[in-house]
Amino acid sequence: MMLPRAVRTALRSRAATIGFSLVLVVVLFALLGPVIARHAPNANDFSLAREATGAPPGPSRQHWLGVDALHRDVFARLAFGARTSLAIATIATCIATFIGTIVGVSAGYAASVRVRSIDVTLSRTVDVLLALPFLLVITAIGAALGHATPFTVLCVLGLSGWAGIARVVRAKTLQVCALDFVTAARAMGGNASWIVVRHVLPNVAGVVAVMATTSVGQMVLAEAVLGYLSLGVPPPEASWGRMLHEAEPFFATRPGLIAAPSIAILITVLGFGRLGDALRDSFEADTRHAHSQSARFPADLLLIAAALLLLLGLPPQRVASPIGASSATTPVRGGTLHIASIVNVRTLDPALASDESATILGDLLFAKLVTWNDEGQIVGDLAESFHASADGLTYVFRLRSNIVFHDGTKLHAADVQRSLERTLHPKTPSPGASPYEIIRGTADFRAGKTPHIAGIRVTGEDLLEISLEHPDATFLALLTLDFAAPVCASSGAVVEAAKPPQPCGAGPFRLVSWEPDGVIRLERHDGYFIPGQPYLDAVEWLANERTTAQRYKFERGVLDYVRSLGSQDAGLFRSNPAWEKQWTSSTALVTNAVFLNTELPPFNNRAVRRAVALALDPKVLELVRSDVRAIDRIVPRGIPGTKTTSKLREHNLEAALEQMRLAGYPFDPATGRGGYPQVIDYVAPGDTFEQQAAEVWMQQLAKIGLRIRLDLTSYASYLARISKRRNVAMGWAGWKADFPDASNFFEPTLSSRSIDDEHSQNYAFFKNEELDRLLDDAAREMQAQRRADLFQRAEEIIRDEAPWVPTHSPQLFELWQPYVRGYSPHPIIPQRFRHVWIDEQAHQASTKRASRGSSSVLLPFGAMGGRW
Amino acid sequence: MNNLAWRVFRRLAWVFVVVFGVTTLSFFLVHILPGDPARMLLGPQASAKDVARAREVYGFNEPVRVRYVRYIQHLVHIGDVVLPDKPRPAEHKTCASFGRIHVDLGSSFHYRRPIVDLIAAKLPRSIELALASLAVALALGFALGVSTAARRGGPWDEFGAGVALLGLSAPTFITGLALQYLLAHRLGVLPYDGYGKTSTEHFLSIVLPALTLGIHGSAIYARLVRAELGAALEKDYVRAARAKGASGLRALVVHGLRTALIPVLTLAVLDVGALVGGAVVTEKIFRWPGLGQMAVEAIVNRDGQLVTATVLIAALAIVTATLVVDVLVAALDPRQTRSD
Repeated sequence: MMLPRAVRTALRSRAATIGFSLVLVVVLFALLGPVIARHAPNANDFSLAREATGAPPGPSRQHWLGVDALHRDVFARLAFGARTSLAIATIATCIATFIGTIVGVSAGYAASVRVRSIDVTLSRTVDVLLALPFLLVITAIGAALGHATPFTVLCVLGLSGWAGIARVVRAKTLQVCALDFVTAARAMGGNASWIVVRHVLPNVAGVVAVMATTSVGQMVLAEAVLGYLSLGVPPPEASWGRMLHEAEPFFATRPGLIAAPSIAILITVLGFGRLGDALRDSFEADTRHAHSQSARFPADLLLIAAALLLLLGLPPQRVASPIGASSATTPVRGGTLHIASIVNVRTLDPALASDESATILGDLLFAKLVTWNDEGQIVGDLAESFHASADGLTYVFRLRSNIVFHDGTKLHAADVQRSLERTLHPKTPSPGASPYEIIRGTADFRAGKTPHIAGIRVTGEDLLEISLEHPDATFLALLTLDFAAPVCASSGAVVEAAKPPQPCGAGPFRLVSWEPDGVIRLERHDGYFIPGQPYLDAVEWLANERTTAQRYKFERGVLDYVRSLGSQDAGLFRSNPAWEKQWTSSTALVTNAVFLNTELPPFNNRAVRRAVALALDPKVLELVRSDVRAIDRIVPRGIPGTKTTSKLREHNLEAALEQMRLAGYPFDPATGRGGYPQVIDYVAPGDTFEQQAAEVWMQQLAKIGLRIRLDLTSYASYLARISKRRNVAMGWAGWKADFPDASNFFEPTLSSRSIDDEHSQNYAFFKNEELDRLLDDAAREMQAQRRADLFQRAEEIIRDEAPWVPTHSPQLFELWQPYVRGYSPHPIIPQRFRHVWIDEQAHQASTKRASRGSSSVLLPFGAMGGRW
Repeated sequence: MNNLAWRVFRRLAWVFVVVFGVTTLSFFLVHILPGDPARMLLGPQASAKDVARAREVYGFNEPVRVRYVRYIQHLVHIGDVVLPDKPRPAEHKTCASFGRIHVDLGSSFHYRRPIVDLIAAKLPRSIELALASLAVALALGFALGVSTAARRGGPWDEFGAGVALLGLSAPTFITGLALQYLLAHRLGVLPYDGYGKTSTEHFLSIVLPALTLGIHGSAIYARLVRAELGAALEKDYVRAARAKGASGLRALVVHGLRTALIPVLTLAVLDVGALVGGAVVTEKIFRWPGLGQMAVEAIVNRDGQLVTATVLIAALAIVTATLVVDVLVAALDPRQTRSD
C-alpha cells in the first residue's frame, strides 16, 4: 500500500517535523493548560479595576495573560478554548473532507467513464449548495436546530464545508482519470472500486491533504463566525474564535487580547499546514521516488515569533489632542455640521419612523405643536400659545401666523389636523398610533367608521381644538413626538408604506439628498418661523459608520460630533485630559432588566423571583465598562417627576439564599449542593452587550443554586419567542422611553393589559390588580406630586413582586470639536442640533492641520512616545 | 453542431432549474424562520395593536403559498415598455423593464424601495469589489506560488509558505481593521471607507476592501499554484522542454502554468460567486455599498422578498460563473471535452 509508505516518507521530512511539533505543542497545551491554569475559565475577577482607557487590566502575576472584557483569566480561557476549538475544527474538517472526497471522486470518476447521470446529479447538488449563500444556509440550519450546542456546531460546519472540497476533488479526479495509467488499468479489466482505490485516490490525496489541512484553520475561524450569528459554541464557554471576536473592540487599547487567540490559531494553522505540505510532497515523492529534503530554514517559527512580538509589543493607541480652540460666544451663520450613526436610517416619514436616528433627524426636519425646552418642560413650538380646559378634556392651540412648510406653502390649523389623520389613518402602518386613541373619536376613525377624527376640530385659520376621551397627563408629551408632526400636503392623506414620500415639514432644516446606506444631507429652511435661525447652513448625516471609523474621522476633523463611540473608543478620549471640556456622559432614558416569567417554574414562585433580585449585582458592570450605570428601579432617573430619594434594592447574597430556602430550594454555597434542580434557559439576542451581562448574571445566580444556560438567538426570534405565552422562563428585557413619562415604562411592559398569548409585550406575564389600578389612576391624575407618589408605589410593587429585576441603563458618551458651539446635551431629546453653530475661524485652522495627517514612517510605532 | 446546440440547451436548462430551485427554497426558508416581519418593521416597542394593523396592511397575513404563487407570476412577465426617465405605471411600480419583458422582485419593507432599484444600485458595486479582490488574490497568489515553486525547498519557499498560511488564517476583520488603521488613519494615503464621488475616489476607495479580501484569498491560490506547478515541473514534458534548452522561466510559465490554471480557475469561480453576495464583514468595515451587507440585514430583519432577491442574484452569479469556467476549461484542457 502506498498510504503508510507515504506517511512514513512524510514523517522523515523536515517540514513534517516542524508541523508535527507545532501540532503537538497545541495538543499538549489543550491537555495540560487547563491543569496548570490558576483560574476557572468563566470566573469573573471583579477585584481588578479597568484602566483609564477603559481596557481590562493587562498581564500580572495573578493573571499571566491578563483578563478579558468581563475580567476572566485569558490564560485559562485560552487553555480551555484549545480543547473546544481543536476538537471542533478537526472533527468538522474530517466530516467535510470525508463527504467532499467521496462525492468529488464519485462524480469525477463517473464523468470519466461517461456515467453522466451520477456526475450531473452530484455536481449540480454541489452547485446548488455553493449557490446558496453560506449565511442563509447556516441561519436556516441554526433556526431548525434551535439551541446551539457543540454538536450542532459540528453539523453546521461539517455539512456546509464539503461542497467546495467536492468540487476541487472532482476536477482533480477528472484530470487523473484522463491519464494513461488509469486508461491502462481500465483496459486491463480493473473494476471501478479497484481503480478508484489503487489509482485515483492516491493521486487526488495530495489535493485533499492540502484542502483538509488548510480547512482546519478556517474551521477554527468559521466557528467564530457562527458565534456572531449566535450559532457557535454557547457562551460563556471559551473558544479561540469567540475570544478573537470578543477582543475586537480592544484592537486599539489592548492588542494583547487579540494576540493571544491569534497566535494560538496561527500555530495551529501553521502546524497543520506544514503537515499537509509534507504529506503532499511525500505522495508526489512516492510516485517519482525522489525526495531531496535539504536542510530547511525554519521560517514559520521566525514568522510566529515576529507576529508575537508585533502584536504583544504594539503599544496602545492614543488619540491626538483637539486641534485648535474656540471661545467665541456670539452665534454666526454658516458652516456644515457632520455627524454619523452606526445604524442605517430606513425611513424619515414621521408617521412611520420610530428609531433613535429618525428621532434626532425628525427634530431637525419637523416642527411640532409643542416641544421640550432645555429644562425638560413642554413649551409651544408651532403653537404660539395653548391651554387646557379646567376638566382636562379639551386643549386649544393657537398657531404662529408665520409658519411655512419646506415646499413654500403656509401652515395652518387644518394642516395639523390633516397630518394627525394621516398618521392615524387605518391604512397607515404606524408603529406609534395606538396611544393617540385617547383623542375622542380616534378609535372610530381607525376602524374606518368616520371620515375624520371627531375630537380634532379646526376652529379658526390658526386655531385648533383637540378633545380627549378622558383627562390624560401624557397627552402633551404625545404631541411632541414625530407622529404628530405636520407634513406638507404633498405627503398624501395616507402613508404608502412601500414608497413613502420625501419628508417635507416645517422644521429648521429641509431634506436635500438621501443616499440609502449613505449620506443624508439637510440644508437650512429659509422660511423657518424663528427669524435668524437655524445658524448652520447644512447638516450631513453619515449612516452605517462603525464606531472606530467614527473615531478616526473625528480625530481628523471629518466628523464634528460623535455620540455612538463604543466604550473602548470613548475611553481613549476620556483618558486624554485635553478633551476634557469637549465631552459629556449622560444616562440614556433606557431601562435594561432581567424579566422572570411569572407563569413558568421556578419563577411562578415569588420567593425565587425575590432571590434573583437580591442575588443579581449589576454594580459589577460599572467596573467592566464606562458606558453603563447600575439601576435599582424601572423608571430612569432622567424622566421628569420621578422620585430619586431612597435606594429601592440592594445586592444581598444572604437574603437571596434565605429566599431560596423559603421557596423550598435551599442551597449551600460551601458544598454547592441543593438549589433548583433543573437548568433554566436565559434568552437574549446574541453578540450584544446583553449577552455579556447575561454571562455575568449566570455566575451570580450560580451562587444561590440557580443553574442558567444561555439561549442566544437572532433578534427577530428573540422577540418572537419572548412575546409568546408560557415559552421563555427568563431573559433580557429592555425599554426605551417613547415619550418621557413613567407611565410609558410601566403600562406596556408590566400591566396585565399588555398580556397577549402570541404578541405579549408583558414578557413576565405579570398580573397585579393593584398595579393596574395605580396606572389607571396615574393616567388620569393631573397633579404632578400625586402622580409621582403613585409611580413610587408602582416601583415598590415591582421590587416586592420582582417580575423584572432592573439592572442597568446605558451611558451616552457625546463628544464634539472645539469649533462646534452652542451644543449641550438635551435632557429629553436624544440630540438637539437646532441651536448649534460653527466657529468658522477655528474650524479653518483645524482643517488645515488635520489634512496634513500623520507623516511618521516608523509605522505603527512612530509618535507613540519613547517606547520604540 | 447539433450536438453542441443540445449541450448548450441542456446547460441553460440546468441554470434555470438551479436558480428556480434556490429561489423557491429561500422563499420558503425565510418564512419558516422564527420571527415576525411586522414586528421587525415596527420595532420592539410598538403595541400589539399597531403591529396587528401593520401585518394586515403589508399583507403578512396571507398564506405563504398564495404569496409564492403571486411572486413567481410577477417575477418575469410581459408589460409595457417603460423608459428609464419616465415614472413606472402604478401596477408596475416595482418592475424593471427590459423591452416588454418585466422583472419584478417586489419591494423591500425595510428600505421601502423597489428591490430592482436596490439591486441596480448595489450589484455593480459588489461585482467591482469581487473582481478587484480576485485580481489582488490572483496577482499575489501567482507571484507567491510561482516564486516558491521555482525554488522549492529553499528558504524563500519556506518563508512563502508561512506567509500564505498567515494570510489564510488572519480573519478579514483583523486584516481589514489593521489596513484601515495603517493606510487610512496613520498614513492617510487612502480614504477610510465609502465609495467616493468621482472616479478617482472610486478607485482609491476600492483599494482597501480589495486588499483585505485579496490578501485573504491569495493564500489559497499561492498554495494551489505552488502545488500544481511543483507537480508539473516534475513531468517529463517539462523536463524535455528544459533539456531542449528552454529557460527555467519559460518552462515554468509556458508548460507549468497551463496545467496549474485549471484548478485555480475552478477555485476562482467559487470565489467570485461567494464574493458577490458574501463579502459581509469587509463591506461593513469599509462601508462598501454592496449586496452582502444588505443580504444579511434582510435575513436579520426578516425582509422576505429582499432575502429571496439577493439569493436569486447570488445564485445567478455563481451559475453564470460556472458556465463561463466550463467553457474556459474546455478551451484550456481538451481532454475534458473529450470525456464529456
